[in-house]
Amino acid sequence: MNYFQYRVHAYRYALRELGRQIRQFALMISTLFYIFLPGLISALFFGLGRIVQNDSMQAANNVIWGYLLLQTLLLSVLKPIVLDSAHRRFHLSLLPNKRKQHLADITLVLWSHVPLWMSLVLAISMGMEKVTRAPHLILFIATQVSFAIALFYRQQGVVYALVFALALQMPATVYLISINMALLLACFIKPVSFTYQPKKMCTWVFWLLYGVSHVWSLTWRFSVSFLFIWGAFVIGHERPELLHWYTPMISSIALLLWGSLCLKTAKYLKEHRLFWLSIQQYDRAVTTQHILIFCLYLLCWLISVILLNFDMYVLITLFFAPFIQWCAANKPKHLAICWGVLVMALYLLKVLA
Amino acid sequence: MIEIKNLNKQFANKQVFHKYHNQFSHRKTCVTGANGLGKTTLFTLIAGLDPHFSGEILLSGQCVKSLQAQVALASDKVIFPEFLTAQQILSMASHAWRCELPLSFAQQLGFTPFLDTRVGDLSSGNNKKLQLLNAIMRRTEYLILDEPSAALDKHGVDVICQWLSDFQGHVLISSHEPEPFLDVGFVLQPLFR
Repeated sequence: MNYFQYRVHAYRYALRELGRQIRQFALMISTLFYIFLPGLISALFFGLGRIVQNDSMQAANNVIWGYLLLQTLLLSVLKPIVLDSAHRRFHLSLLPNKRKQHLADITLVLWSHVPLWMSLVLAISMGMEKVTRAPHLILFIATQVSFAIALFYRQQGVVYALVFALALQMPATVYLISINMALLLACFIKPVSFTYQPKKMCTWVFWLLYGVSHVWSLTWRFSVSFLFIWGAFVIGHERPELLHWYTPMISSIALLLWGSLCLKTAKYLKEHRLFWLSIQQYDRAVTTQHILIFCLYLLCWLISVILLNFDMYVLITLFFAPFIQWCAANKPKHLAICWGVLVMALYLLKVLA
Repeated sequence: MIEIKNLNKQFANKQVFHKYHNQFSHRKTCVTGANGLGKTTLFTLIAGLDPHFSGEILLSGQCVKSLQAQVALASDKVIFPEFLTAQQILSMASHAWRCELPLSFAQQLGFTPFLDTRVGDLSSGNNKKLQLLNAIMRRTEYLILDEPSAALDKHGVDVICQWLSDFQGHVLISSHEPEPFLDVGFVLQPLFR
């Protein structure tokens, strides 16, 4: 087995493991919402279509930005799998230099880049003639590649470029060139590591420090929640009469995202249980964890209420939160089914009422 | 004196102790036994960190309500959060047990330069020093040190031995290299007679 064969083997193995972990959840989502899945895939292609042809400059910029954020989130999940992060030193023990390692990394990044494949499918289906009339699509594809590769080696650069892109409003071609330039410059900015050293320690401060050191867990949850709220906000402009159907679902998805944080924090607490018991703070750490996660969910819930809609069913999702959090912390295997049952019950109630 | 009576402890697939009796009557005892026999499990039970057992653990002949209040444990099993600094860990213990930070002892151990280092960045030797400081600072009557010399440098072992020789309470340790501890008055006692 040579190095490249090893990387493919490690990639497949880690992907299978990930699939095994999310199998129950994926099965539940596809069973509950199978009718919407073709629509979701069509919506993604529809979004790409808005990049190719759009009357509004601002809308095109927003869709490009949304796609780049979406790919950043998807690839971030796959990052440790693609890089085989746990065994990077082992790689170096096999190689005289890093060239082969980078080559394998980039090949696997592109292989894993589903949004890029979708753009390529669109470009091929459009044909050469139409593509030449929409050069910003080619630029968009190149941007997808540059942001994907940068994410793996200069993550902070991607964050800076995305923040910068949020403030820009210009024609699609200029917009894409500008954010690529911004990304290039951002890659040379020295990574900043935020350090916070509080004088007094307590469980609240502990979770604050946990958040600082696991900032990505919070960032992606905020970003995905925001993407869903933003997506519903855009659809709400086109079909405001349907908004009351979307909003409980958006709140429920945000609840699942934030509730699932309890999976991680509860596992972390269990791993360090003896430490917490040794200072007699275990129960307090558990309670504080739940209060803080609820507050984070409440923040997203409030954003969705302000931007979308408020009714009794949206309010009910807030009351589901403690139950979902308890389930994630104590019965993690039942989280998906528990969330699914609650959402089904909520919509059943809405339909019957 | 620490006395164990009729102790039963089982993990999911393994019975570690079954009707176990033992008595650690010497003030300074080094418990011996091969790896995996249950020394660390016993220490965790005596320290009151694992309530899932049946039987009795007596301190000076008394069945105490809160073992934790009277017994401090330093062990690899007590894993510290890796993103906190050593100082933050010690200050949490100091706050919880209302005791002073052991700054002078940290100085003797040569640990002061590492107080602001994150646990995840500490070497195994310094991690062991942090465990020892975390237990010793509580000034409890009973002290349990699980493999206190593992990964420690020579200077660290000397400082610990010196401190233990002056300590007036009860100490239970386990060590696969007990010689330095025997020199300061420890006696060997097997886990299972």
